[in-house]
Amino acid sequence: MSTHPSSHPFLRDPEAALREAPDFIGFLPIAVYACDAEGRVRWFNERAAELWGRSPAIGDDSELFCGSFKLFGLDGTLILRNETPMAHVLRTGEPVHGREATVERPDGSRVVAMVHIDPIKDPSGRLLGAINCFHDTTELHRTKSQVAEGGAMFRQVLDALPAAVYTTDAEGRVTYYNQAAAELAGREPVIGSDEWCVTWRLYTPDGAFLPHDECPMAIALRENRPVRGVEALAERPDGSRRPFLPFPTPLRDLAGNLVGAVNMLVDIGERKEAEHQQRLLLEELNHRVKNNMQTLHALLRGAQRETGSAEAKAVLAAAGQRVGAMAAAQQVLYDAASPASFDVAKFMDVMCRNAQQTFGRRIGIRLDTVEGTLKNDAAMALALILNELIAHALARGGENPMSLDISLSRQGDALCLAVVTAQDEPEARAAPSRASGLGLVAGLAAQLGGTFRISNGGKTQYIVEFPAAGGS
Amino acid sequence: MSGRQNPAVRGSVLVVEDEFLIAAAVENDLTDGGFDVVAVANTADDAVKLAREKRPDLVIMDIRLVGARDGVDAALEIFGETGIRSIFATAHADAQCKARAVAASPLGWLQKPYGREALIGAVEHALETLRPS
Repeated sequence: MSTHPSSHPFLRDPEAALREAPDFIGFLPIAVYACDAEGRVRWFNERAAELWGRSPAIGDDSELFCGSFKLFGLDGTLILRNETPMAHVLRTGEPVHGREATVERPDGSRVVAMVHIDPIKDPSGRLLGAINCFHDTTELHRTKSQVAEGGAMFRQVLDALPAAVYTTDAEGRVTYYNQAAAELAGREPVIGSDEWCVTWRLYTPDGAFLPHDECPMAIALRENRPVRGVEALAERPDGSRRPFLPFPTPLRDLAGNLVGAVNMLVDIGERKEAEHQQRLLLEELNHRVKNNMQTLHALLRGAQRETGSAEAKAVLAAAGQRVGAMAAAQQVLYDAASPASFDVAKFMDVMCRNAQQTFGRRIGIRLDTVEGTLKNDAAMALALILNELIAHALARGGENPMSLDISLSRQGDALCLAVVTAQDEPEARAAPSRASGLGLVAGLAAQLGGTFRISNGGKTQYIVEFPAAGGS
Repeated sequence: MSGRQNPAVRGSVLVVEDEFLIAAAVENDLTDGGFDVVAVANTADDAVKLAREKRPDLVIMDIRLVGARDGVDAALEIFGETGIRSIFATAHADAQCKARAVAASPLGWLQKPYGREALIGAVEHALETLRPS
């Protein structure tokens, strides 16, 4: 219980304090009035008159306890004079602090006031009256109401969101969840009991069990930072699983203290399914393309077997090798991370392996290649150029096993493909056919925006230079 | 006739391929290369049945086949029942497919489209692997 007011130095003479207002009362920014033990108003200051909207008669027996025209509770119920906080203090001798009521003025306007009433007693403890200090809390009350209404509206917005949202306190206990969160979790979370997450069980994308206290929300709370870019699998009580992306974000008060966290769980099940379907479609397409190439290859081999002409056999064999080179390039494009470009080093490696498979044990290939990417447009031309150069070098070498040094190097803004063999290329050559062999190489090099040349000198170098940007 | 019974041939092969033109080309290439193609199957069930009957040295196994079961299923059953191993031939084999096939102890992988040299080379290499040291 607080110190008795009559013990305050200000009230060395309590009866005098009730009889006449102290001079400084008029300077106070709050409203003050005093009642005697019977409830008659003994004095009031100007601020009190402003709040009441009137000036009550001093010592009037007909207006006891309060100077208000009318007084209402915050719920709108009329408060009779003998029910006012002042009447309560005078009846019980106990102070009342912090109660709010609505004051209605004679002109009908209303203000909310908060009262602080202390009883005045003489040194023997006999109740002499009471003093009420009250102040206008209309704005504060309105702000509180707006905050409460705003909170309710904010909650309605969260409830209506199709995205799963939940909040926790700073210890990770669930304080709120919306319907979408319950649907994603396949269960009704338990407010105040569930910790860290609303899901039944959690797993990482690769299927490993993820304890709730190690989930992204727990990390966000423990490390007081948002967690992004993590994917997880939610298992429902019925065993079904949904992949989702969580977006846990700490909540802080105005002083920056962690007070909880909010998490939005974005269900990516449909996106995953769409990606899976797209992958299946691409796989099917890739399979069809390559199977058709194999059928074409089989037809060429069948024709090669049927013909009695050695020249026709050679032409059909070369055509089959070109189909094989194109299929190998197709596989690189299919495996590429980008839909517009491919990895040059991987491409060169696959093409050389394909050549090794195609030409068998007759050749040994040493490969040296730059890293980087090229536009898809260059893939088929480059694949066919490499195939033709290897086939040509092999043809020059006869039936003997041979070694080839193949390199792809950067020369300024250009790439330089070189196939080097110990076999000499004759100086004077007939103009090559455009449809096969070195004629094909020259044409495809031009298609890439580059050039083709042969360099002799102990070894023969077949060199194709083309812009690194990927061709014309 | 099996290569084990006729020393004139270099080895016996069962071809499992559901595309007629491809199967014909593979059969021709192997025959021209001196191998005995004991049979051509176009379903997983036929492949298992023919492997059981003909007992080839190895199987050229396409992965996508007509019917409910694929070439990996057939290769696993053939290997489990007879110990005969396969060279898988496919236009597209993802990591999951290759992982399934491990239990059939593959003799190699041929990436479609493949030519005569690649086919013969793969079979020769497989037979060398199978030959007792």
